[in-house]
Amino acid sequence: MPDGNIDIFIESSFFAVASGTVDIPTSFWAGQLESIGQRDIVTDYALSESIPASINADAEAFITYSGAFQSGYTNVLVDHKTSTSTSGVEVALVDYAIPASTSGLTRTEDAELEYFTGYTQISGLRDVRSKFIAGETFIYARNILGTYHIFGGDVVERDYATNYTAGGYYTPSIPGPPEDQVINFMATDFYQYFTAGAATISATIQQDCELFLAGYPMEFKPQQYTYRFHIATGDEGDTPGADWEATVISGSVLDIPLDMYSTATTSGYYNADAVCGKTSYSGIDFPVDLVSYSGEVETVSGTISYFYKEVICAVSGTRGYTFDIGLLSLKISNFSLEEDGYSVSSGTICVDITDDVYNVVTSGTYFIIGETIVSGTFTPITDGYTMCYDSLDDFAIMTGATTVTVHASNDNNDILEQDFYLTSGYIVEYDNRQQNYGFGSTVVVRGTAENMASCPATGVDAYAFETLPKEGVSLGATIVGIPWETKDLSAEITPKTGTIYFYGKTFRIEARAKDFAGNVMEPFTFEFKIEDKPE
Amino acid sequence: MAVTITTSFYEYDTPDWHNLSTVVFTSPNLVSPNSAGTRSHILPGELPLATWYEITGDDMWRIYNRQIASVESFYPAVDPTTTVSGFDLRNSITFEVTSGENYNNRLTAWDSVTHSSTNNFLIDSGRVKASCANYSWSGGTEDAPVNVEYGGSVDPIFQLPENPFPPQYNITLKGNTTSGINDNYYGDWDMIYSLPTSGRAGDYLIVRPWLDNINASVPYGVHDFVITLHYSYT
Repeated sequence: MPDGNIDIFIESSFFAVASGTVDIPTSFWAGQLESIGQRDIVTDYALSESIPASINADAEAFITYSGAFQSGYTNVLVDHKTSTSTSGVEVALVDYAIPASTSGLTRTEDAELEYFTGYTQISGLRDVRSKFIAGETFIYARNILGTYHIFGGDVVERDYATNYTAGGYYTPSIPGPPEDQVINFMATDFYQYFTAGAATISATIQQDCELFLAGYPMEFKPQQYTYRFHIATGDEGDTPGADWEATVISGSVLDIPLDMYSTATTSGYYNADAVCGKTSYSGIDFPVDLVSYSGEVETVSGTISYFYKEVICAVSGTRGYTFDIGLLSLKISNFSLEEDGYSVSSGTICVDITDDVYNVVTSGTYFIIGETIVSGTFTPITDGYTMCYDSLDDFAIMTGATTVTVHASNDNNDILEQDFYLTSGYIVEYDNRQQNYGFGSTVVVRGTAENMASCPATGVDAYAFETLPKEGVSLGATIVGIPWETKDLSAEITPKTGTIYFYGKTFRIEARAKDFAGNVMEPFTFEFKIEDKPE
Repeated sequence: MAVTITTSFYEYDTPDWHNLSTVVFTSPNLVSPNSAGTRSHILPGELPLATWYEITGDDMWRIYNRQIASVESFYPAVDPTTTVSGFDLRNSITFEVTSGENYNNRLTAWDSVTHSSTNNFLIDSGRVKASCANYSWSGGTEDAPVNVEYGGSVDPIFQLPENPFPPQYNITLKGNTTSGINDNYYGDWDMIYSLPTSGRAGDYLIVRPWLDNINASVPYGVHDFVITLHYSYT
């Protein structure tokens, strides 16, 4: 088998198992040549639904080689996560054992245990153990990273137990198994045991254990937190032998027993601190948070430099500020102009006033344009009205940026106002009104566009054209379109000769007209008579 | 050692510090300052909810004319009154230790003063947000500090010496809960009062509260809640 990383994933799925116990044995025995590099053995055990049976999900890694490790690490990673509400007994057991006959371990071995529960209530017994047993010669640090999180409310009898047993020649140069235990709610007991070996130890032993109980909820009252530090014999160092600290941020712990046994000829000193927060706020005052802090120190032989034990009962406080948030059922919506939208000033502005709880009061609902209150017309819609306003002077008040406030009220005396910001925007003019469009004239066309909304600017453009000269035709008719506002246009009939109109003659005129849109006027006919020649 | 913690905010238009009573999210249309208790609640989604700070029986001030954008990112300071990059006194609440020491501080949101439940629509739905930082400073004035020291700074000069707990931005405040690897609270860290003779002022906690995703899906009614700083002291 080549060197490198080899991952083995085995998936076993069962459908509709009636009852009973189902075991999934998975073994991987590595030969000597295969034990080079990294091996990941992944076991996922997933439950899709609750089943009325006990579950054993064990992951075991055996290392049977009894000689010295040559290189690399050995990691045992076990995650146990309960994501939903369960009942019954659950066991998460990690045994990490190095046979007592093993010698010559010169590398770190980490055993990581992570245990998470879900966010919902979990009932029944819970027994979580992390047991680490090392061999006789145990030179470097061995870490059991036990992370234990309870998120939901648990009704448990045994929460967490850790056994850490070193071999007979436990000589760590750095601290031993750290523990990270975070309990948010309703923990009962903690057990943590540390036992060093029975042979002479050439260096010092420092075992640090720090526990933070971070549950602010007042119900957090672990009954007991037990920590036992047992050195069988032979600690000859003079640096700290054990530092133990338990911090309770709030809530209370009824009892923290601490037992230490030492047969060391000359032991180090031991510090044991308990810092417990006292919860007091809003008139609720826990009288005593730490009910009992007991301890037993027994020196079988030799001496202990000193044993320092301090209990600090602190108080805790809170300081906060309230947030005042009230949201109305009254709504203003569908303003007739969207952002960056536009309309002609001769149009109307409309907005919907609705309330799905109370009635909209039209008498208390209006527009405020500038500082002037103007009433609108109301058209009923679901849960309210559409209010519109048509300015008689085409919003002449809007000479610049203008605030249009929609003021709405309901029969619960709630008032809601919302501002909309409008401005008179675009004026387009063509100053060509008094020009002579007659025959043989020069007509200048000039346009002006003025933007007053954003980035005010004025643009002008113009061009000119020549009208044709009047041509003389027999009975030709011409129409001259000035001034521009004139509706009644006159037509001039110009006979080619001045002698066509004789006295006493009757003339009949039929006029036809068509505009540039293609509209055709009905023929208009009339008659007139030239008076008789005067006698 | 007993600890004294004050809670205040800085009103910028007529510069002054005020002791905080209540944070009000209401209409930005009101004239600032206004009488405490004045409300013109607006509908979610219709207008930005403005952040107002209020003193009991006195006035309330609109802090920045509107709520910061709903999805706020780490933005650089644009004003000399900035304390920690990304924060501004004008839109933030300041906790100051004026005596003693307090430990294991944790800032989070609860539904009421009993600090035991998050049974509140805004909290449970993750709409209560805050950006937080603890800091001290060694120059300037309280409203225009310089040489700001805060946790997590790369430059050791600006490293808060006793507690390098870094600022956190736009975190959800929801009791003592955790979402995945993220804690729904700011903590835990320590705060220690600095003697004036030390040349350092502090420690401070600055908090910029805001509401996320306020729209028509938020039901009509009152959604009051409490943001609380928990601490221990000896």
